[in-house]
Amino acid sequence: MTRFVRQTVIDARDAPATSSLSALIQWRRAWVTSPMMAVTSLVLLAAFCVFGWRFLQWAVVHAHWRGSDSAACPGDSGACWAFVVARWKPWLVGDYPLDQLWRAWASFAAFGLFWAWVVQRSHAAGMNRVLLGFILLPAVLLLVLIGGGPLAAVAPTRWGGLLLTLIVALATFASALPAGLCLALGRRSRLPVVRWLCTAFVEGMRSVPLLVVLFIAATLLPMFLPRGWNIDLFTRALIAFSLFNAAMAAEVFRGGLQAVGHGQFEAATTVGLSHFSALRLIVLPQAVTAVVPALVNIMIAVIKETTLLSIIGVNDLLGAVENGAKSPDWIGEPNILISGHVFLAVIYLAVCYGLSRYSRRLETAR
Amino acid sequence: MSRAVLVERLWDYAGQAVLLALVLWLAWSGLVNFLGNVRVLGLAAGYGFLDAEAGFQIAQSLIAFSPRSSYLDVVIVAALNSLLVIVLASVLSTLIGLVMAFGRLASHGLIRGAAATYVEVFRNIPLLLQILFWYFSAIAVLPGVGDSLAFGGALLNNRGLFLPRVQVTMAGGSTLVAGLAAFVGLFWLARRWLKTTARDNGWSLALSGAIIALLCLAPLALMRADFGIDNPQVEGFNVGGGFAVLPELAALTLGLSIYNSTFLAEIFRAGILSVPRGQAEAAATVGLSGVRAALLITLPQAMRVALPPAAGQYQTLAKASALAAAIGYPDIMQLVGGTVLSQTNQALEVMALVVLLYAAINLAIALAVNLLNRRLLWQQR
Repeated sequence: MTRFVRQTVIDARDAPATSSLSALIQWRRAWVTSPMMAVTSLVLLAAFCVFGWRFLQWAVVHAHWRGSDSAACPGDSGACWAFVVARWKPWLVGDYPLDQLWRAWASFAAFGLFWAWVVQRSHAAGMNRVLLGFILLPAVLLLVLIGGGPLAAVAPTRWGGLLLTLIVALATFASALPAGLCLALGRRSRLPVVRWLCTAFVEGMRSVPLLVVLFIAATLLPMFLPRGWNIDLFTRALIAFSLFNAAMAAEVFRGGLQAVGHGQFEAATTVGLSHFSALRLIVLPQAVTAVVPALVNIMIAVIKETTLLSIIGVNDLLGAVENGAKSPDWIGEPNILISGHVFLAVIYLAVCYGLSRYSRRLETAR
Repeated sequence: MSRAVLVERLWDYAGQAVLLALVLWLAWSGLVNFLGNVRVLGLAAGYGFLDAEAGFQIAQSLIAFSPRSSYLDVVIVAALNSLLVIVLASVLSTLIGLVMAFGRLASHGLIRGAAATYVEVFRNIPLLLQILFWYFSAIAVLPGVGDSLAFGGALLNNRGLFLPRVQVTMAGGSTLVAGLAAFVGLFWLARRWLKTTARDNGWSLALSGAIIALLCLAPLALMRADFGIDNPQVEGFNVGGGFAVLPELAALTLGLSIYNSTFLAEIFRAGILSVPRGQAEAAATVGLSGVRAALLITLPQAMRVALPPAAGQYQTLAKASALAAAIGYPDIMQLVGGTVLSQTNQALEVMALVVLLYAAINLAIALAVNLLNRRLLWQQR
């Protein structure tokens, strides 16, 4: 019986060559699994190319960039970016006084710096300081923008565009979060009156469209105030936004509170913490951390909802562009309004998509 | 009860009493202010205005309406118009959402990419902006009334799509009702029969084919009944006669469908992912094609998970239909909260009506989905 024992070490062999399949074959396996799929691929690809090419032609090649009235944009073969460029002030800051504009720029810069700090910090770290920042920042911005004392006062009726959208979104978020947390805690209270009131408020708000709430704030609320009292439209709209989104946030927080097992609370009271301390030190940190991604989603919803302000006559970003297309210099060509809409779509898309990516990153970081 | 417990409870009761008193005081002083303001402004109160003559025409109504009709009719027309757009958009967004959900899970990279792009783009652009975009684009693209495009008896221009309206007489109406009853009855019988017998032999196929042919013939018989057809016609700068599908309705339906389909797609996708992979594999093993496996095996199980969040999305859609006010589609918000409010000046009564109507629609959706949900869960046993 002969045996063979290898005497020398052989060279290491390469791993089985998956890459020896040529790129073409790999591509075919993924895309052309059947004739039907091949046709689908081709049709989709053709649609992408045609649509992309036509959009490029419209948005870049044939676009009009300079000019101060609708004569700058003849025909509809190209986008009318001149409309966006010439009317930068209305859609960026509204009617804010020219000599006070630095306050608006400072607000944008402050928010930009704050947001940069939020995004670059570690996602696994606690969110307490971020949430605190989101509550303090709008208060500071409102003080700077309204003025008073050494700064000249600027009424909110003169704000507009992106500035107003930013302030409304931030202020809504800052007021709706604490209110929502209180409502959520109230719904779980052992005191029946508190529980009923909070439940009635949240469910009532959730069964009505936001537009109806805004309309009530705009038309009906002044009737319920004593004669002579006058709250301006901006503040009323802000109140409506806060109350509506407080109900939304309450449902999110309720979910977070339910996710914390009751044993946590019981254990905390067993080791001698008071009712309030157990809530503050044990339950709330866990509940809030669990719902931070959902809170970012509420922020996205709030940003999209701010467009409703234009319907009740507050000059937000959408309203500023709509009004611009109705101004004497730019009225007439539908292409101008469509260009404005596309421009707005890109802004909202960039902001909301960025936020949704952030929300997803927070979710996976946990 | 010990004294300590009693003292502790006392604080609870006192706190609740103070809170209740505060809320009641707020409501009471608001009401007093309101009544005072109403007296100073000299406005009417109560729902007496519902019987009064409205005095304006509505561009789209599903029931007979003229300026002589009452405000109550306005409310009914508005509610029906709202329901119309809600139902249309719900069905359309469900279909698009399903396609996109399966598209995002496809093995084909290009299809996956297209579906993902669609979802990410349209869910992140505000709904109002989308509705305005579709509305103004549609108006810009369509020709004026003078250059209306004609398809058979229908007209298409920037005032909308005008379809021939079928006018039913009394005799025609009763035939129609009888025919519909027969149709429903036959359909029910056929379904019942198909359920109780084996489906895969030639006999049952032939018979079900015959039944379906009969079902298709039944409406044809109705055509013999005397119907009048009211064709739309260009009258100066407007169109008279026919049934108008407004560009506002088209833009609102399109905007609502596309926006909500992205959220539904994510809900359906989560539902599909919750079905164990083995189900689809087993379906493939017993020889079902990809489409049949998806529709018969995966989807029914996915729906159990997806239905509760989808219900919330349908409610969101119903509430978002109030954005009709921005483009002037005659729905609850635009007609009741807008026109009726400005004509009667009775803000409290009118807005209470609007709130009630939306709350009722929301409740109806919740009930319908609950019923459906119970049915789905029943089959699980």
